[in-house]
Amino acid sequence: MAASWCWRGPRIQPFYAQYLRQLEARRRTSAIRCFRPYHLVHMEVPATIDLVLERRTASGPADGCSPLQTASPSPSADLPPEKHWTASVGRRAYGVAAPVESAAGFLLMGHSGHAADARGRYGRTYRSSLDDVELDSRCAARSLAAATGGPAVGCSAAHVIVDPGLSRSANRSASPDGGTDGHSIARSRPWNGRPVLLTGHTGFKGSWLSAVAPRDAGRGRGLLQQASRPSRRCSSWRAVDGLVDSVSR
Amino acid sequence: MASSTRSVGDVRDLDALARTVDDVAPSVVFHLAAQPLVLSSYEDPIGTFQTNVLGTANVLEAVRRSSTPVDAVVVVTTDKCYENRGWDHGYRETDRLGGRDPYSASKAAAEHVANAYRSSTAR
Repeated sequence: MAASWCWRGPRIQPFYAQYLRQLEARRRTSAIRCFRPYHLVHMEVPATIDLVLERRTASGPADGCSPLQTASPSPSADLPPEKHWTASVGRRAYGVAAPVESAAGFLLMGHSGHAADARGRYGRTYRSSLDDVELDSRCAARSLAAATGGPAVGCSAAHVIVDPGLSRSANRSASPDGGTDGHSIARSRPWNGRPVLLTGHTGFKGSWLSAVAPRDAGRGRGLLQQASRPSRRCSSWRAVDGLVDSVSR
Repeated sequence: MASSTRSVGDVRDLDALARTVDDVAPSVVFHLAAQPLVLSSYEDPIGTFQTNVLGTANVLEAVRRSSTPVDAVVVVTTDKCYENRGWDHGYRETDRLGGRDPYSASKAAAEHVANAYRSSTAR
Protein backbone atom coordinates (compact mmCIF):
# COMPACT_ATOMS: atom_id res chain seq x y z
CA MET A 1 0.00 0.00 0.00
CA ALA A 2 1.27 3.40 -0.76
CA ALA A 3 0.17 6.72 0.47
CA SER A 4 1.66 10.12 0.72
CA TRP A 5 0.40 10.92 4.15
CA CYS A 6 1.77 9.83 7.43
CA TRP A 7 -0.12 9.19 10.58
CA ARG A 8 1.99 11.16 12.92
CA GLY A 9 4.34 14.04 12.75
CA PRO A 10 3.82 17.54 11.55
CA ARG A 11 2.26 16.58 8.23
CA ILE A 12 -0.57 14.55 9.60
CA GLN A 13 -3.81 15.23 7.87
CA PRO A 14 -6.47 17.01 9.86
CA PHE A 15 -9.01 14.25 10.01
CA TYR A 16 -6.47 11.69 11.02
CA ALA A 17 -5.50 13.99 13.82
CA GLN A 18 -9.14 14.10 14.75
CA TYR A 19 -9.31 10.34 14.96
CA LEU A 20 -6.15 10.12 16.93
CA ARG A 21 -7.61 12.58 19.39
CA GLN A 22 -10.69 10.42 19.60
CA LEU A 23 -8.53 7.40 20.18
CA GLU A 24 -6.76 9.09 23.03
CA ALA A 25 -10.02 10.36 24.42
CA ARG A 26 -11.46 6.88 24.40
CA ARG A 27 -8.43 5.58 26.14
CA ARG A 28 -8.73 8.13 28.86
CA THR A 29 -12.32 7.22 29.44
CA SER A 30 -11.75 3.47 29.16
CA ALA A 31 -14.52 3.35 26.62
CA ILE A 32 -14.55 1.06 23.66
CA ARG A 33 -11.96 1.68 21.04
CA CYS A 34 -13.38 0.40 17.87
CA PHE A 35 -11.88 1.58 14.64
CA ARG A 36 -12.62 0.64 11.15
CA PRO A 37 -9.77 1.98 9.12
CA TYR A 38 -11.69 1.58 5.92
CA HIS A 39 -14.06 4.11 7.30
CA LEU A 40 -11.21 6.27 8.26
CA VAL A 41 -10.77 7.56 4.78
CA HIS A 42 -14.44 8.33 4.60
CA MET A 43 -14.68 10.14 7.87
CA GLU A 44 -16.88 7.41 9.25
CA VAL A 45 -14.98 6.27 12.26
CA PRO A 46 -16.88 8.61 14.53
CA ALA A 47 -20.11 7.13 13.31
CA THR A 48 -18.93 3.64 14.09
CA ILE A 49 -17.69 4.55 17.49
CA ASP A 50 -20.81 6.44 18.32
CA LEU A 51 -22.97 3.63 17.15
CA VAL A 52 -21.26 1.19 19.43
CA LEU A 53 -21.36 3.55 22.32
CA GLU A 54 -24.95 4.42 21.72
CA ARG A 55 -25.91 0.80 21.59
CA ARG A 56 -24.11 0.14 24.78
CA THR A 57 -25.78 3.03 26.45
CA ALA A 58 -29.20 2.26 25.09
CA SER A 59 -29.17 -1.37 26.10
CA GLY A 60 -27.27 -0.91 29.29
CA PRO A 61 -24.75 -3.57 30.12
CA ALA A 62 -25.54 -5.10 33.45
CA ASP A 63 -23.81 -7.72 35.52
CA GLY A 64 -21.14 -8.14 32.94
CA CYS A 65 -23.69 -8.86 30.27
CA SER A 66 -24.26 -6.79 27.21
CA PRO A 67 -26.36 -6.64 24.07
CA LEU A 68 -23.63 -8.62 22.39
CA GLN A 69 -24.48 -11.58 24.51
CA THR A 70 -28.19 -11.29 24.59
CA ALA A 71 -29.12 -10.93 20.94
CA SER A 72 -30.04 -14.14 19.18
CA PRO A 73 -29.69 -13.80 15.45
CA SER A 74 -30.08 -16.27 12.68
CA PRO A 75 -26.60 -17.12 11.43
CA SER A 76 -27.66 -18.14 7.98
CA ALA A 77 -30.07 -15.39 7.12
CA ASP A 78 -29.22 -12.70 4.67
CA LEU A 79 -30.01 -9.70 6.67
CA PRO A 80 -31.19 -6.36 5.47
CA PRO A 81 -29.13 -3.48 6.73
CA GLU A 82 -31.68 -2.33 9.25
CA LYS A 83 -31.42 -5.66 11.01
CA HIS A 84 -27.75 -6.02 10.57
CA TRP A 85 -26.69 -4.52 13.80
CA THR A 86 -28.62 -6.76 16.09
CA ALA A 87 -27.80 -9.87 14.17
CA SER A 88 -24.19 -9.08 13.62
CA VAL A 89 -23.49 -8.14 17.13
CA GLY A 90 -25.46 -10.92 18.61
CA ARG A 91 -24.09 -13.64 16.46
CA ARG A 92 -20.42 -13.32 17.06
CA ALA A 93 -18.83 -10.42 18.74
CA TYR A 94 -15.11 -10.39 18.32
CA GLY A 95 -15.09 -14.10 17.84
CA VAL A 96 -17.59 -14.89 20.52
CA ALA A 97 -20.14 -13.02 22.48
CA ALA A 98 -18.22 -10.51 24.46
CA PRO A 99 -19.26 -7.47 26.40
CA VAL A 100 -18.64 -4.27 24.58
CA GLU A 101 -16.49 -3.06 27.36
CA SER A 102 -14.22 -6.05 27.04
CA ALA A 103 -13.49 -5.02 23.49
CA ALA A 104 -11.45 -2.08 24.63
CA GLY A 105 -8.23 -2.07 22.77
CA PHE A 106 -9.51 -3.90 19.77
CA LEU A 107 -8.79 -2.65 16.36
CA LEU A 108 -11.35 -3.77 13.86
CA MET A 109 -10.15 -3.78 10.34
CA GLY A 110 -12.28 -4.66 7.48
CA HIS A 111 -14.37 -3.64 4.60
CA SER A 112 -17.44 -1.59 4.91
CA GLY A 113 -20.58 -3.06 3.57
CA HIS A 114 -22.39 -0.05 4.84
CA ALA A 115 -20.35 2.87 3.76
CA ALA A 116 -23.33 4.62 2.31
CA ASP A 117 -25.36 3.93 5.39
CA ALA A 118 -22.63 5.21 7.60
CA ARG A 119 -22.39 8.36 5.60
CA GLY A 120 -26.10 8.64 5.86
CA ARG A 121 -25.73 8.91 9.57
CA TYR A 122 -24.77 12.46 9.11
CA GLY A 123 -28.05 12.93 7.36
CA ARG A 124 -29.82 11.23 10.27
CA THR A 125 -30.58 8.19 8.20
CA TYR A 126 -27.92 5.93 9.58
CA ARG A 127 -29.27 2.51 10.17
CA SER A 128 -26.63 -0.14 9.82
CA SER A 129 -23.73 -1.40 11.76
CA LEU A 130 -20.66 -3.53 11.89
CA ASP A 131 -20.28 -6.05 9.17
CA ASP A 132 -20.88 -9.70 9.69
CA VAL A 133 -17.58 -10.52 8.21
CA GLU A 134 -15.82 -8.56 10.86
CA LEU A 135 -17.52 -10.47 13.56
CA ASP A 136 -17.02 -13.95 12.30
CA SER A 137 -15.24 -16.08 14.80
CA ARG A 138 -13.15 -18.21 12.57
CA CYS A 139 -10.65 -15.87 11.08
CA ALA A 140 -10.34 -13.06 13.51
CA ALA A 141 -9.94 -13.15 17.21
CA ARG A 142 -10.11 -16.88 17.54
CA SER A 143 -7.61 -17.59 14.83
CA LEU A 144 -5.23 -14.98 16.01
CA ALA A 145 -5.62 -15.99 19.59
CA ALA A 146 -5.11 -19.64 18.83
CA ALA A 147 -2.19 -18.80 16.63
CA THR A 148 -0.37 -16.78 19.19
CA GLY A 149 -0.45 -19.83 21.37
CA GLY A 150 1.91 -21.64 19.07
CA PRO A 151 1.20 -22.68 15.51
CA ALA A 152 1.62 -20.45 12.52
CA VAL A 153 -1.70 -19.75 10.92
CA GLY A 154 -2.46 -18.06 7.68
CA CYS A 155 -5.59 -16.12 8.34
CA SER A 156 -7.36 -15.27 5.15
CA ALA A 157 -9.59 -12.83 6.85
CA ALA A 158 -11.16 -9.70 5.56
CA HIS A 159 -10.41 -8.23 8.87
CA VAL A 160 -8.09 -8.26 11.77
CA ILE A 161 -8.94 -7.90 15.37
CA VAL A 162 -6.09 -6.81 17.47
CA ASP A 163 -5.96 -6.41 21.14
CA PRO A 164 -2.84 -5.14 22.84
CA GLY A 165 -3.61 -7.31 25.79
CA LEU A 166 -3.42 -10.85 24.52
CA SER A 167 -1.07 -13.14 26.30
CA ARG A 168 0.13 -16.57 25.49
CA SER A 169 -0.81 -17.89 28.87
CA ALA A 170 -4.28 -16.44 28.70
CA ASN A 171 -4.86 -18.06 25.35
CA ARG A 172 -3.76 -21.46 26.41
CA SER A 173 -6.03 -21.49 29.36
CA ALA A 174 -8.98 -20.03 27.59
CA SER A 175 -10.64 -22.99 25.96
CA PRO A 176 -9.97 -26.62 25.14
CA ASP A 177 -10.13 -26.14 21.39
CA GLY A 178 -7.33 -23.67 21.29
CA GLY A 179 -9.59 -20.72 20.92
CA THR A 180 -10.38 -18.18 23.47
CA ASP A 181 -13.23 -16.06 24.56
CA GLY A 182 -13.78 -12.40 24.37
CA HIS A 183 -12.81 -11.81 27.93
CA SER A 184 -9.48 -13.49 27.73
CA ILE A 185 -8.74 -11.83 24.43
CA ALA A 186 -9.52 -8.47 25.83
CA ARG A 187 -7.59 -8.94 28.99
CA SER A 188 -4.52 -10.53 27.56
CA ARG A 189 -1.58 -8.97 25.79
CA PRO A 190 -0.48 -10.23 22.41
CA TRP A 191 2.26 -7.76 21.72
CA ASN A 192 3.97 -7.41 25.00
CA GLY A 193 7.62 -7.62 24.18
CA ARG A 194 7.03 -9.52 21.00
CA PRO A 195 8.26 -8.42 17.59
CA VAL A 196 5.77 -7.67 14.87
CA LEU A 197 6.29 -7.38 11.14
CA LEU A 198 3.74 -5.38 9.25
CA THR A 199 3.71 -5.02 5.50
CA GLY A 200 1.91 -2.09 3.99
CA HIS A 201 2.13 0.01 7.07
CA THR A 202 1.52 3.27 5.25
CA GLY A 203 -1.79 2.16 3.82
CA PHE A 204 -5.01 3.23 5.40
CA LYS A 205 -5.38 0.03 7.31
CA GLY A 206 -1.74 -0.55 8.00
CA SER A 207 -1.20 2.92 9.30
CA TRP A 208 -3.80 2.37 11.94
CA LEU A 209 -2.46 -0.97 12.82
CA SER A 210 0.97 0.51 13.21
CA ALA A 211 -0.42 3.42 15.15
CA VAL A 212 -2.52 1.48 17.56
CA ALA A 213 -1.70 -2.16 17.89
CA PRO A 214 2.03 -2.57 18.13
CA ARG A 215 2.61 0.10 20.69
CA ASP A 216 3.22 -2.60 23.17
CA ALA A 217 5.45 -4.55 20.87
CA GLY A 218 8.99 -5.03 21.95
CA ARG A 219 10.08 -4.07 18.50
CA GLY A 220 8.41 -3.83 15.19
CA ARG A 221 9.11 -3.46 11.55
CA GLY A 222 6.93 -1.82 9.00
CA LEU A 223 7.60 -2.85 5.45
CA LEU A 224 6.39 -0.56 2.73
CA GLN A 225 5.38 -2.01 -0.52
CA GLN A 226 7.67 -0.52 -3.11
CA ALA A 227 5.37 0.73 -5.81
CA SER A 228 6.22 -0.51 -9.25
CA ARG A 229 4.60 2.58 -10.63
CA PRO A 230 4.36 5.28 -8.02
CA SER A 231 0.99 6.82 -7.92
CA ARG A 232 0.26 10.48 -7.97
CA ARG A 233 -0.42 10.31 -4.28
CA CYS A 234 2.97 8.82 -3.64
CA SER A 235 5.20 10.23 -6.31
CA SER A 236 8.29 9.25 -4.45
CA TRP A 237 9.25 7.63 -1.22
CA ARG A 238 10.51 10.96 -0.09
CA ALA A 239 6.85 11.66 0.48
CA VAL A 240 7.09 9.57 3.57
CA ASP A 241 10.26 11.04 4.90
CA GLY A 242 10.72 10.05 8.46
CA LEU A 243 8.96 6.77 8.01
CA VAL A 244 11.65 5.00 6.09
CA ASP A 245 14.69 3.92 8.01
CA SER A 246 16.12 1.34 5.71
CA VAL A 247 15.68 -0.26 2.35
CA SER A 248 15.38 -4.00 1.96
CA ARG A 249 16.65 -5.12 -1.40
CA MET B 1 5.43 1.22 17.19
CA ALA B 2 7.24 1.46 20.42
CA SER B 3 10.60 0.44 19.04
CA SER B 4 10.13 0.24 15.36
CA THR B 5 11.96 0.50 12.13
CA ARG B 6 10.51 0.99 8.73
CA SER B 7 11.82 -0.40 5.53
CA VAL B 8 11.10 -0.02 1.89
CA GLY B 9 10.90 -3.30 0.09
CA ASP B 10 8.96 -5.17 -2.49
CA VAL B 11 6.83 -8.13 -1.53
CA ARG B 12 7.51 -9.54 -4.97
CA ASP B 13 11.13 -9.93 -3.96
CA LEU B 14 11.15 -13.14 -1.99
CA ASP B 15 14.81 -13.03 -1.08
CA ALA B 16 14.63 -9.53 0.32
CA LEU B 17 11.45 -10.40 2.11
CA ALA B 18 12.98 -13.50 3.61
CA ARG B 19 15.95 -11.50 4.82
CA THR B 20 13.61 -9.01 6.43
CA VAL B 21 11.67 -11.74 8.17
CA ASP B 22 14.87 -13.31 9.41
CA ASP B 23 16.11 -9.94 10.56
CA VAL B 24 12.96 -9.07 12.46
CA ALA B 25 12.21 -12.60 13.66
CA PRO B 26 8.60 -11.61 14.22
CA SER B 27 6.13 -13.39 16.40
CA VAL B 28 3.28 -12.02 14.34
CA VAL B 29 3.28 -10.94 10.71
CA PHE B 30 0.55 -8.74 9.33
CA HIS B 31 0.48 -8.72 5.58
CA LEU B 32 -1.32 -5.67 4.27
CA ALA B 33 0.92 -4.61 1.42
CA ALA B 34 -0.96 -4.70 -1.83
CA GLN B 35 -1.91 -3.02 -5.01
CA PRO B 36 -5.21 -1.87 -3.57
CA LEU B 37 -6.86 -0.04 -6.42
CA VAL B 38 -9.42 -1.57 -8.74
CA LEU B 39 -8.87 1.00 -11.45
CA SER B 40 -5.14 0.49 -11.39
CA SER B 41 -5.67 -3.21 -11.73
CA TYR B 42 -7.24 -2.64 -15.12
CA GLU B 43 -4.24 -0.62 -16.16
CA ASP B 44 -1.72 -3.07 -14.79
CA PRO B 45 -3.32 -6.46 -14.23
CA ILE B 46 -0.06 -8.35 -14.27
CA GLY B 47 1.47 -6.08 -11.69
CA THR B 48 -1.64 -6.42 -9.60
CA PHE B 49 -1.51 -10.19 -9.69
CA GLN B 50 2.19 -10.17 -9.00
CA THR B 51 1.83 -7.94 -5.99
CA ASN B 52 -1.34 -9.32 -4.51
CA VAL B 53 -1.03 -13.00 -5.30
CA LEU B 54 2.67 -13.65 -5.59
CA GLY B 55 3.37 -11.06 -2.92
CA THR B 56 1.12 -12.91 -0.51
CA ALA B 57 2.76 -16.18 -1.41
CA ASN B 58 6.16 -14.61 -0.88
CA VAL B 59 5.23 -13.37 2.57
CA LEU B 60 3.99 -16.78 3.57
CA GLU B 61 6.97 -18.47 2.00
CA ALA B 62 9.35 -16.14 3.78
CA VAL B 63 7.63 -17.07 7.01
CA ARG B 64 7.87 -20.75 6.16
CA ARG B 65 11.58 -20.41 5.50
CA SER B 66 12.20 -18.34 8.57
CA SER B 67 14.66 -19.81 10.98
CA THR B 68 12.64 -18.38 13.84
CA PRO B 69 9.14 -19.77 14.26
CA VAL B 70 6.39 -17.27 13.59
CA ASP B 71 3.33 -17.59 15.74
CA ALA B 72 0.82 -16.02 13.42
CA VAL B 73 0.44 -14.57 9.99
CA VAL B 74 -2.56 -12.41 9.29
CA VAL B 75 -3.34 -11.79 5.66
CA VAL B 76 -5.69 -8.91 5.14
CA THR B 77 -7.94 -8.91 2.14
CA THR B 78 -11.16 -7.29 0.98
CA ASP B 79 -14.81 -7.95 0.48
CA LYS B 80 -14.17 -7.71 -3.22
CA CYS B 81 -12.69 -11.18 -3.14
CA TYR B 82 -16.24 -12.44 -2.92
CA GLU B 83 -18.53 -12.81 -5.87
CA ASN B 84 -20.44 -9.60 -6.33
CA ARG B 85 -24.07 -10.42 -5.80
CA GLY B 86 -25.29 -6.90 -5.55
CA TRP B 87 -25.98 -7.02 -1.86
CA ASP B 88 -26.00 -3.80 0.02
CA HIS B 89 -24.86 -5.47 3.18
CA GLY B 90 -21.59 -7.02 4.09
CA TYR B 91 -20.26 -10.23 2.62
CA ARG B 92 -19.26 -13.13 4.75
CA GLU B 93 -16.31 -15.43 4.77
CA THR B 94 -18.58 -18.25 3.77
CA ASP B 95 -19.61 -16.47 0.59
CA ARG B 96 -18.35 -17.68 -2.75
CA LEU B 97 -15.11 -16.23 -3.94
CA GLY B 98 -15.20 -14.32 -7.16
CA GLY B 99 -13.74 -11.43 -9.03
CA ARG B 100 -14.63 -9.86 -12.33
CA ASP B 101 -11.77 -7.43 -12.37
CA PRO B 102 -8.06 -8.06 -11.88
CA TYR B 103 -7.99 -6.61 -8.40
CA SER B 104 -10.89 -8.67 -7.12
CA ALA B 105 -9.57 -11.79 -8.80
CA SER B 106 -6.15 -11.22 -7.31
CA LYS B 107 -7.62 -10.97 -3.86
CA ALA B 108 -9.65 -14.10 -4.36
CA ALA B 109 -6.51 -15.85 -5.51
CA ALA B 110 -4.67 -14.58 -2.47
CA GLU B 111 -7.34 -16.23 -0.35
CA HIS B 112 -6.48 -19.55 -1.96
CA VAL B 113 -2.80 -18.93 -1.41
CA ALA B 114 -3.31 -18.19 2.26
CA ASN B 115 -5.56 -21.18 2.64
CA ALA B 116 -3.03 -23.45 0.95
CA TYR B 117 -0.23 -22.31 3.21
CA ARG B 118 -2.45 -22.61 6.23
CA SER B 119 -3.45 -26.12 5.29
CA SER B 120 -0.08 -27.36 4.20
CA THR B 121 2.49 -25.59 6.29
CA ALA B 122 0.89 -24.47 9.55
CA ARG B 123 2.69 -26.02 12.42
